[in-house]
Amino acid sequence: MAPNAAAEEEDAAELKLGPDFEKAKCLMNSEVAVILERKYEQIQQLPDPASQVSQVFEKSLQYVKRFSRYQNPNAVKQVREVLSRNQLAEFEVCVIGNLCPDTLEEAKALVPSLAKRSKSDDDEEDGITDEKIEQMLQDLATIKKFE
Amino acid sequence: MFFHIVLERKIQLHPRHFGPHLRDKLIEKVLQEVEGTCSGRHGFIVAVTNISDIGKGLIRDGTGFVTFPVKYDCVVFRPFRGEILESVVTMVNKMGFFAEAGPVQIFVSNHLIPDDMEFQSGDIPCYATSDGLVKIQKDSEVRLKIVGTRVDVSEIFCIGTIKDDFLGLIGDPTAGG
Amino acid sequence: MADEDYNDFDGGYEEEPVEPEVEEEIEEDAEQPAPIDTLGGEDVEMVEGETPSDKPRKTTRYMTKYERARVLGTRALQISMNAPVMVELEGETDPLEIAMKELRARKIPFTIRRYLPDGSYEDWGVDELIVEDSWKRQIG
Repeated sequence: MAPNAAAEEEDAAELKLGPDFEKAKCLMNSEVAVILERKYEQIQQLPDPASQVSQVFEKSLQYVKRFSRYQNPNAVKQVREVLSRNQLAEFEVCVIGNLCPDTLEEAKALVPSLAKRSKSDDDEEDGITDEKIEQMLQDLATIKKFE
Repeated sequence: MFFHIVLERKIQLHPRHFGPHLRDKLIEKVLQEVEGTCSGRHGFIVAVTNISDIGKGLIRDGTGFVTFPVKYDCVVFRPFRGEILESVVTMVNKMGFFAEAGPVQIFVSNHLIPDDMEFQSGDIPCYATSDGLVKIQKDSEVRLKIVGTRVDVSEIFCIGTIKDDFLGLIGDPTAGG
Repeated sequence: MADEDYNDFDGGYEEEPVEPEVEEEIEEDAEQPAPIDTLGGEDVEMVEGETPSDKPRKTTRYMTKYERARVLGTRALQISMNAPVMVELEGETDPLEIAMKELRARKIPFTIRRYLPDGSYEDWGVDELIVEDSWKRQIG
């Protein structure tokens, strides 16, 4: 399959991530930060640390450190718990975890697939209602506060 | 977005490594060959977290080398069209600005910057609103949406927009954010 | 049928053998406890798409002279490239000689993959096969 054809198909707003990533486990920035920092510490203990760190690694580490919303590994765990309580796709979980929207409108704007689902959801089939989203956002804010 | 995925790679090993440390050598080679690379399909491979399986090796005819299929878990960064993420501005010019999100470069053209923001050249070139309250310059943190990706063999490049609700500046360095 | 085929190759030493089975040797390292015995776990790895036949193996228990030649040749090449030797040496220096010694001690860490005409294959460890030299003496 030509990579271009795959690129045409992809659209994160509709959760179309292509065959390779449909089932893949997404990671929040905070989670990546935990993983990378641990790995970085390990590398530092090797005899020649400089040669072991790629530029991609370094940039990613800087990035996730700067943009991770939760510093404490326990808080990160809680966040994932809260988010996965509702039937969200992995990708949605991580977008919300990364961007921490404050309001319902913001959440829906940032995660269009969420808005689409919750609209048709007066019958509560999909399990995601506006109330549930708001509840979720509040829970996240609480975790953040007590971190 | 970062992902945790399983990939496989065929590793060629020289006969001199066939001793007791074969496994260590293989792992070392995987890390060396894989970490920090980028493919259009899987994105940037940031870090290998685990070697999950080493298959049976296949002898290369006539060379004495052996190829082992190695499965490994790794953290990859792969941008998607339609994804919203946060990034750091690295360069501003009159065409637009460049930002970085982890290993990936994102260009936001001035067509995709809200119309009320104007380019201002000077010591520190920036995009600012006329009242000067919102200012995007080097090192600003910007939330943007990816509208297109260009995939080369060993690089991914993105086009982003900040012309939408809830997109744009997050923290301004001059404002202490 | 395979049994007869193998044993009938007495005469033509000199001809470049049109190998009846293209065999692939699989390296498995004796020191690695984990991956050795997982037989063909991944389909991914089977590049040419054949599958190991699940029936009991039916090809000969004797190593054909072509297999012997290839095993010794490949192993000698590896030894000449500094591969760790699997037997105690008593002053041997010639890689081929060392390879033969390893074969006699059944210490060559290879598996022979015999492809059958229908595309399936059988895996035989070198240590499972009976090795004879060209004068029909059993040497390994």
